[in-house]
Amino acid sequence: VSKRPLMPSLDPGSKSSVSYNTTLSGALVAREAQTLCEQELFKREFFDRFYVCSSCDSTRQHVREECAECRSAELTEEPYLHHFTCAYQGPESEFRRGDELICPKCRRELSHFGFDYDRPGTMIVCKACGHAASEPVVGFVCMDCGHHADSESCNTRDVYSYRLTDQGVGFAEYGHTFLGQANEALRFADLPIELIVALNAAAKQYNEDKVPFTLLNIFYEKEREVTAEHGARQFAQARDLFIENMRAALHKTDLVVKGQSYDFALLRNIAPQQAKAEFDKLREAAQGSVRYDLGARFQAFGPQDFS
Amino acid sequence: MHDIVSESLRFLTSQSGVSLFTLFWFVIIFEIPRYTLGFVATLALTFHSNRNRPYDVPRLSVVIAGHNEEDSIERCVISLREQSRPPDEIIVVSDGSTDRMPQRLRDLQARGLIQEAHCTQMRAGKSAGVNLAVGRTTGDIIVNVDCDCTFDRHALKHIIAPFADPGIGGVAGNIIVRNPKASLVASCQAIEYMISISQGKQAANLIDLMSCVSGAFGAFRREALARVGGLDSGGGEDLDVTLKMRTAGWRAVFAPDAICYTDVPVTLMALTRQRFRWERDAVRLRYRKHRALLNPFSERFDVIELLHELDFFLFNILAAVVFPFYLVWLFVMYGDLAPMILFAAQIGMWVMDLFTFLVAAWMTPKAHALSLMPYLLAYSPFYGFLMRMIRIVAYAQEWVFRASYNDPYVPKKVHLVRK
Repeated sequence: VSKRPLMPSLDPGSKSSVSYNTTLSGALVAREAQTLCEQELFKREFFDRFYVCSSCDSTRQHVREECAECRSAELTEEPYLHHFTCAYQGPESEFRRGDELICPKCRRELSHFGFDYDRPGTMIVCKACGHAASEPVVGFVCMDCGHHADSESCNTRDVYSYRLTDQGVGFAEYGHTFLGQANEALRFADLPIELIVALNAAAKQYNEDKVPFTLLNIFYEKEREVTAEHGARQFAQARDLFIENMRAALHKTDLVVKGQSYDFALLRNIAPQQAKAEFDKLREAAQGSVRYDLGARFQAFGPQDFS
Repeated sequence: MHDIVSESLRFLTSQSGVSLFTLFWFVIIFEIPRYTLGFVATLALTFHSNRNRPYDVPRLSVVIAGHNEEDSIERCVISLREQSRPPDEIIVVSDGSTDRMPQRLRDLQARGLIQEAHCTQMRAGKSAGVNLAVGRTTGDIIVNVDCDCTFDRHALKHIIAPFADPGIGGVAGNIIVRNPKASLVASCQAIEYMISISQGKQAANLIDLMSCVSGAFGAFRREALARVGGLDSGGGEDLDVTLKMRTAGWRAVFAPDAICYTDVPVTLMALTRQRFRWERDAVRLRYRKHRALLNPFSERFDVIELLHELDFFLFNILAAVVFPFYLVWLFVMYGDLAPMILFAAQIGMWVMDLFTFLVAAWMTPKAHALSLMPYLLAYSPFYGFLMRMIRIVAYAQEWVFRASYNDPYVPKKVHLVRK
C-alpha cells in the first residue's frame, strides 16, 4: 500500500462485506488502522455503514419488511376504501364482490371513485397473524447464523478508508525519533480550532492576570461496549446528549467542544485541583438523561501543563 | 348597583303569586322546571346510588381517531396505559394528518404502547376514522376516546362496569374541564360541564333518558355497535349512534366515576363555532335523520324516546326561541321597569344556580369546583343569555340554510353525498 491509501471495496465473500487493497483481512485492517488513527498516524474517511449481527459479527444481513407483531415477512398491501355515504372505512377485500365493490355496512354499490368513495391510504396486512399497520417495520436476518434483529436493535459498523497523516509519514520515514520531537506540539495543534483559540485567550489571561483555567479531556471508557451492544449511531447520539448536558451544567463562559476521539471542556476561573473536586457532580449532571452509561472519565490540565 | 339590587329585591318580594307568574312566566316555565328536575334527580341519587359494582370484560379495546393531533396523542395514550384496568389493545387512526402525528404513532407502536396505527393520506372524517379503527378491534367492549383527553386511573374500570347488565349497549364517561382557569369563557364552561353534562346525565340516567354517549369518552358493546353499523357520516356522530342504539333496543347509561379531562375553547369565538356545530347537528339528527322517533305511527316510536325529545324541544329549542319574545314583551309592557324585572329574575337565577352548583360540586368532587364559585355570577348570563342566542342562530342556520352540510368538521366530499 506504499503511497496509496487503504481503500475498502465491497466483497460479498467476506463476513465483513469489505476487503482492503492488501492481503490482510478486512476486519484486521480496520482494527489496526483504527489504533493508528487514535495515535493520529492515520486519517480516515467514511466509506460505508453496515449492519452487524450481534451473534456472529457478520455483516451479511438479509434486510426485509416484516410484521411488527410476529416478525413474519409474509405481508400484503391492501388499500383502505372509504365509503362517503355511510362513513364505513376498511380494507378493499371487505368491499370486493367479484368485480364489484359493495359496502359491507350499507350494502350499496360503490360506483364512482372520488364521488361516493376513495382510497385514503394503504394498509399492510400480515398474512401470518392478521396484524395490520400503515407501514411495515424493517428487520434483519443474518445470512451466516440466522439470527434475527429489528432495525432498532441491530448494531451498525462504519467502514473507512485510511491514509497516512503528515505525522504518520514522518513516523514511517524517521521512526520514534520524529514522534518524540513532534508529538506534543502536534497533539496541541490537532485540537479543535475553536478550542485552540479559547485556550490561547485563557493562557493569555493567565499570563497577564493569573486567572486560572482548566482543560478537561473527556473520554468514554464504555464506547466499545455501548457501540457493540447498541450500535455506533446510538453511541454517537448518547455522546451528543452528554455534551449538551455538560454545556447546560457549566457556566456560560465555559466552553465544551466535541473532538474526534475525545471531547473537551475549557473551564475558566478554576484551577485543576478545584475542578477535580467537582468531577462527580459534573459527570452526574451530564450523564443524567443519557440512555446508556458511557463511562465518561475526565482528565484535567492546567496552565502549567501547557508551559 | 346597590340601588338596582335593593330595588329589584323589594320589587320581587312585594309581588303576589299571580303577578309573579305574569312577570316571570318565562323563568317559571323554562327555568324553574330545569332546576327542579336537577334537584329531584340529585335527591333521588342520594338514596339510589347508580355507582356500579366492579365488572371486567374478557377483552377491552380502545380506539382513537384524530386529525393533526401530534401534540396530544402521546399524553392520551400514556394516560390510557396508566389505567388500573389497562386496555388489551389501543388502535389509533391518523385521519389524513398533515403534521407529525404519523411519526408519533410509529414511535408509540415501536414502544409497544399502541397495538395498531393506521395513517391515511386523505381526511375521511371522524366517523370513518373511528369505523376503521373499530373494524380492527378484537375486544368485547370498545372504548372510543378523543386525542385531547386524559383519564383518571380508574376511568376504564368504571366505564366498563355497567356492561355487567347485558342490555346496556353504550356507556358515557364523565367529562371534566381540564383548563377551567384559562379564561372566563373556560370557567363558565367548567361550571356548565359540571351542572348540565355531569349532573344532567346523572339525572337522565335515573329515568333511562341518557341520549348521548359522548365521542370524547364513551364505551360500546361490540355487538350493539355492530348491530347499528357503527358511526354514520356527518357531525354529531356520538348523539347519532346513541339514538340508533337506543331505538335498536339497547340501553345507554352514564358512568359518573369514569372521569375524563378535556380542554374546552378559551375564546368566545372558538366556543361559538363549537356550539354552532353541536346545536346544528342536534337539530339535524333529532328532526331530520331521527324524526321517526317523534312520529306515533312509526315503528321506531317509543314513549321513553319521546320524553328526551320533548326535553330537548322544551328546554333547548322552545326556551331559546321564546326568550327574545319575552324580552320584547317585557319592554313593551313594562317600559322602564323592564331592566329591574330582569335583574330581579337574575337574582332568583343566581340563587338557584348557587344551589345547583353546590350540589353538582358535591356530586363531582374530582372537579374541584369550589374555586369556580365566583364565576357563577358570569355563568348565569353565559348559560341563560349567550348560549340561548347561539342556539337561536344555530337553529335558524340549520333550518333555513342546512348549515350543518357545510361544516368543515366533515370533509366536503362526504357532505356532497351524505344524507
